[in-house]
Amino acid sequence: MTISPQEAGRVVEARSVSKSYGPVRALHEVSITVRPGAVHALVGENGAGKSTLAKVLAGIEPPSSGAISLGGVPYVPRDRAEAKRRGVNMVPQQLSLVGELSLVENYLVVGSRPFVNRRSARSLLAATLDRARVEVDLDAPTASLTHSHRQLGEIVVALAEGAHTLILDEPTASLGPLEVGGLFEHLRSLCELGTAIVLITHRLDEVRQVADDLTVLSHGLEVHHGSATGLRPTEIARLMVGELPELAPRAARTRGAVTLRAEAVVAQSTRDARLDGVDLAVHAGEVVGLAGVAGSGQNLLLDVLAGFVPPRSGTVTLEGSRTVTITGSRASTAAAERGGATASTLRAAGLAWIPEDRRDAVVPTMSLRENLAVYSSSRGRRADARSRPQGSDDVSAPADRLAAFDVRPPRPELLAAGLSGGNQQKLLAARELGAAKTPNAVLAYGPTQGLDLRAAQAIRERLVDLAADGAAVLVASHDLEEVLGVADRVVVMFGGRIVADLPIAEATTERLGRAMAGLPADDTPRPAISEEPAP
Amino acid sequence: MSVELWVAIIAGALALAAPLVLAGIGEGFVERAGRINLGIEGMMIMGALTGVWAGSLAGPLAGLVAGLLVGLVLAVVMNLLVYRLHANEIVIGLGITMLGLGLSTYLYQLWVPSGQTNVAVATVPRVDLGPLSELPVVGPILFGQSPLVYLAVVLLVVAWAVMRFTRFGLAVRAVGTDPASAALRGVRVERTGASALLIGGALAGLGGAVITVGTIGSFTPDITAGRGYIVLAVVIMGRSRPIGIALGALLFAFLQSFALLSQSTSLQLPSELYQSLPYLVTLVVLVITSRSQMRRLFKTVRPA
Repeated sequence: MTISPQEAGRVVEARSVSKSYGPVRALHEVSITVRPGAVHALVGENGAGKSTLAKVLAGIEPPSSGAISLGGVPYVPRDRAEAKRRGVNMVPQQLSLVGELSLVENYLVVGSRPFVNRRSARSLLAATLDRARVEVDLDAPTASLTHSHRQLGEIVVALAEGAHTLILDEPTASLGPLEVGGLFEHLRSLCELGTAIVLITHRLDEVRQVADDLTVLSHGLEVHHGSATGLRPTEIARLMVGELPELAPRAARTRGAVTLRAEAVVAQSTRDARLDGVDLAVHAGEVVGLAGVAGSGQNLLLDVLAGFVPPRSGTVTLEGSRTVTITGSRASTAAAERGGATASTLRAAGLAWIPEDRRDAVVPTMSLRENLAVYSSSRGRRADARSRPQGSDDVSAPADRLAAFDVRPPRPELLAAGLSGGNQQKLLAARELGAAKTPNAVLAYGPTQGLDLRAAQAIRERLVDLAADGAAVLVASHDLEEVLGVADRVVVMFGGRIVADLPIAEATTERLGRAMAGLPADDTPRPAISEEPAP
Repeated sequence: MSVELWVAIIAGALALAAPLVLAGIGEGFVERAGRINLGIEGMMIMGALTGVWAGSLAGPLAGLVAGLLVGLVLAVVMNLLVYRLHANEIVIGLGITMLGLGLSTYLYQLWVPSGQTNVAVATVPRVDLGPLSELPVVGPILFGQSPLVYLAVVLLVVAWAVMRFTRFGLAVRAVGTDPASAALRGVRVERTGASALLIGGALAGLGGAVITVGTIGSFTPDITAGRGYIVLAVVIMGRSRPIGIALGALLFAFLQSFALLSQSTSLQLPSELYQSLPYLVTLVVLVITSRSQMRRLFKTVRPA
């Protein structure tokens, strides 16, 4: 492709860029060339380094090493404002529009001159709207616009600020298929005008739809950089997931009856994909891994199974010391208030629950002993967290339990707030997985996050041991390796549905990658549904 | 009651409203930036004392400037404690109020020990508007006022224009409603909030000086008599908007003026009732306006 001299002055070129946060290496020797008039897709799993690279390019984070140039001239933005002045602008995933201000005012709110000229700003934005062929209300408070209009509005504001290179961080994450189609049309028309667009996504069908160039990151490393057209989605999926390590042989366990069951569960939350008729059965004695890219519905599914989010319809059943059933209905909240099944009845029936965010489960202002005791109400109706356990075999001596999970320091009288993040995670594991009585079912989201290898391994072993003792274990994670390390069976979610259910022996990198990207299991060409928005 | 008395009540209300409006304009900026300054009372009384002291040395204008500067300094301290060292905004604000009330009394005792005659200073001179001030009714109300009343009106217009036409005004709104997005946009959240607080402190100090140097001409302990809290109430009633602040301040000042002047006429009601009237009505209006504001808030929060 030939590039005009004017456009050559706007090529963003990063060479061997690395970025570390303390000991964590987020990006390692990544090189990328972003050229004007093209959509450059940046794909990778969660934590692959996509957002870090975007922040480095947009001047939000300085690189630890490496060099970036803009049109052949060194480009070292000190902050976002300087990157903006040089024409490199980023639209963050959560957007940066102030809700009470209109688009015109959002455009005006940063700048150097003390007075604002609404009229000229408005006509500049209106002209930009025309150029990008977008229609958005410029004068209404942006909080009153739809999400897709806010997104387009933010793009328009960035263009009006003089952006020639636009980085869009997962712009399609919260858009419906029709809106995605509309957004892509606008992006294409921007490209025709010479704007460079970096599109961060983890949906591979979008790469096929709009991208000219493609960079694939995996664990902070660049595994592909080049044209997007030559690659088949299967190959991209494989690159994205990376080569997984050989699985350790695992002891055969007897699979018992179904302990935890979800039937036709429909549920909705603002943070995750809507669950659209999910069926899942976890048997006693097995470990089921739940995989999927962020926002595929796995958070919501675990929240429903744990009794935190009532389903709209469908049922959740836990076979424990007694059978607990949650039936979805509009009145489910009322049912819960009348003493129906809730998170606490599920717990009483023997459910252990490690949520994704440990702050939802560890009480920082309580001591370690209190944190260990706070939910252990399976025996006795009211376990007084502050009293010392007296000969109860349910709560083993707190100090021993802390030591068994390597919580440092293992002193029950300390406040949980004093522990490091990793040790809080171990404390949570000690509470949920360390009781003398084996739970009937275990739900764990990213149970080893923030832990070093040895501690992570210990938790995995504990999960497998619990399954061997007859617990039904469901482990979800953004990190495929965490799931594959323990699971006997891997269930993959995409768009609020379960799209694959594979025994571990059949869970190849390629099959998982395809399922996580929402591609059909075999390699037949995809029907043209995604090519054009459905009517 | 006679027309003359009503004219006197309304003219007095305008004069009494001026310090409330000045401090209210400042607090309006503070609250629109998402902060609250509970130190207004302390800043006002320190401004009132400093105003008299500087006024006795160098005239009323110097008194006003000194009051303004004292408020500014206290706001700088508050900003440092709350937004740099992360102390609690409410506690520090109340602390400044208590400090101001105590310190002003103490300093005044040092300056004028008990038993001595009160120090009186010249007040800001009235400007002679000639025949205009001799017009019946409107003359004394609109054209016989202290220049500080006109200053308050001018600053009201300036405040409105700042919110409407300047980048700072937009930044204050952005920071007050959605600091996270504002920061992502590139607005300097800390600096905008600090600027608003400094404006608020300076105008509170000026408002305090206006009470002493503007009308009374002397200082007595606790001379502000809770006006700092009234300013807070007025700003909430007026939804931090200049026009709302002006109306709220006028309501309070009118009732206060009414209470002062109607003591001389015999309505055969206890004078304590008159004196508590401004505060009672402020409370009632505050409850009513907050209720409607709350209802509006819930309406916007509910998903569409």
